Amino acid sequence: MFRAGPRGAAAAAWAWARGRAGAARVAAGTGSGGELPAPPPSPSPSPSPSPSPSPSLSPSLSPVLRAVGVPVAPGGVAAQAWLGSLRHPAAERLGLAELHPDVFAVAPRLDILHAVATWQKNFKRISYAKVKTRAEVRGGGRKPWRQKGTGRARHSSIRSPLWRGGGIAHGPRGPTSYYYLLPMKVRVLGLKTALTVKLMQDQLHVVDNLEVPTADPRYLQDLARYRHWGSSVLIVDVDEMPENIEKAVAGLKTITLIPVVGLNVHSMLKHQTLVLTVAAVDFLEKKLLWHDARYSPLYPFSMPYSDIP
Amino acid sequence: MLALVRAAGRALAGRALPGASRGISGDGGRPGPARPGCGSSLPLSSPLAGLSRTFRVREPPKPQQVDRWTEKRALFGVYDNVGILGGFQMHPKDLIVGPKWLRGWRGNELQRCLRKKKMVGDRMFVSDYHKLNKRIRFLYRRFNRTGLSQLSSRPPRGEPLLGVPLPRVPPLRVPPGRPLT
Repeated sequence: MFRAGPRGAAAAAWAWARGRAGAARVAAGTGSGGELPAPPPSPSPSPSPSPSPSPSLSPSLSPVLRAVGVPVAPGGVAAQAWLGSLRHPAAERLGLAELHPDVFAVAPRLDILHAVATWQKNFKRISYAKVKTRAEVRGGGRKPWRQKGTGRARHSSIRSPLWRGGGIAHGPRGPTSYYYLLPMKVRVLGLKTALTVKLMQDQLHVVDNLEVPTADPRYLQDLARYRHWGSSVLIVDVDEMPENIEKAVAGLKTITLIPVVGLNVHSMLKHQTLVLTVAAVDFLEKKLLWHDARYSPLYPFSMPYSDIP
Repeated sequence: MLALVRAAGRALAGRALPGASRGISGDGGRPGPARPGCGSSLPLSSPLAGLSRTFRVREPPKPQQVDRWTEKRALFGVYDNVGILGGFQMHPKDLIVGPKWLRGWRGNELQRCLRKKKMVGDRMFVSDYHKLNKRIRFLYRRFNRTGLSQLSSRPPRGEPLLGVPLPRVPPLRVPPGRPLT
């Protein structure tokens, strides 16, 4: 899916001026670009383009470097994000990456984000608080004084909840679990909503791969500062990551590197910026779009199915 | 003379270290007048300077600095979607760390006690097992035999089920010598 960037910035400028509709036409159509209108001859604020731009856009000059893998439903327009690289701080905008709208442009359901984030916080929780009841506190089998005649209040045990040192009547009892599961499609929609929100708030960046020139953690910090990524960055890649970035991130607190399998709403909300590789975007689109059109499970999904991605 | 007495007093009372904290109440709790020049570490601006008895005024605790980016906090929630994104070979309940009878399961107290007895009862200490059984017995009776819900469905003792007393049927008398047909 990854193609070489456009040769000249000037040649690309007029192509990008066509806007999203033109880019969508390029993606929805065949691999080679279709017939596209020539740029307007009127003077534009940007520097004048090369002397003779060709009317048809060849794939080598298109700004779209990554097209959507799963076909988009008719009528849907792909979302777009800049495709950059980590090799140099200035390599921020090498081209465009198209993203599937049913994953990266869903409705911003904040209630679902809240539900999924709360589920993540609570379903693992086991509270170990436990206090002894009057039956478990040591002692207290004998009646302290006789029922009548002493003038004191009547009591049957020195460990009743009324007494100092006695048991607790309605206290926390034993390790308690707060486990529950939200429906699978709600959790999937939570992931999609979080990705959408990150993209729409300009906090999602797509990167071709995670190759970094040095293993110095300061390079990543300078890069994040130069590109205005904010105070915390979540970097996501599929399986194998280059050694340099693993070593660099090991020394840093606010920059986290995780595989795609570990992506979750809580981490996306905790870190300010999300950096995905193109392979991670492919993986996510494949996994999350399957749930839109799947059958209910007749047997658990852990057993073999023919169409699970 | 007075200077000597003052110096002696200062030496006797000078238990505090040279770098003692100078809070609102100074050293706090030491008897004696709180005069600035007389061994007390109170500054003149303190509201307790010059009073005859100092008492300890506790300051509110300082807000504790919480590091929001420890490894545990930065990686919280990772792999919670391991099922959806990982081909359903693992389930998020496999990630829960805790007692064996509570992993990926939730119940009220009676259900928890029963599950604990079923799963780890044979490994427990004798006294703990005994207490667990007592607790199960108590909770079973509390949940299933007490409360208003039981009163409406259970008939009171001494009356028949229908609530209406049935007519008393006299016993059948068979005259002697005559067989029943």
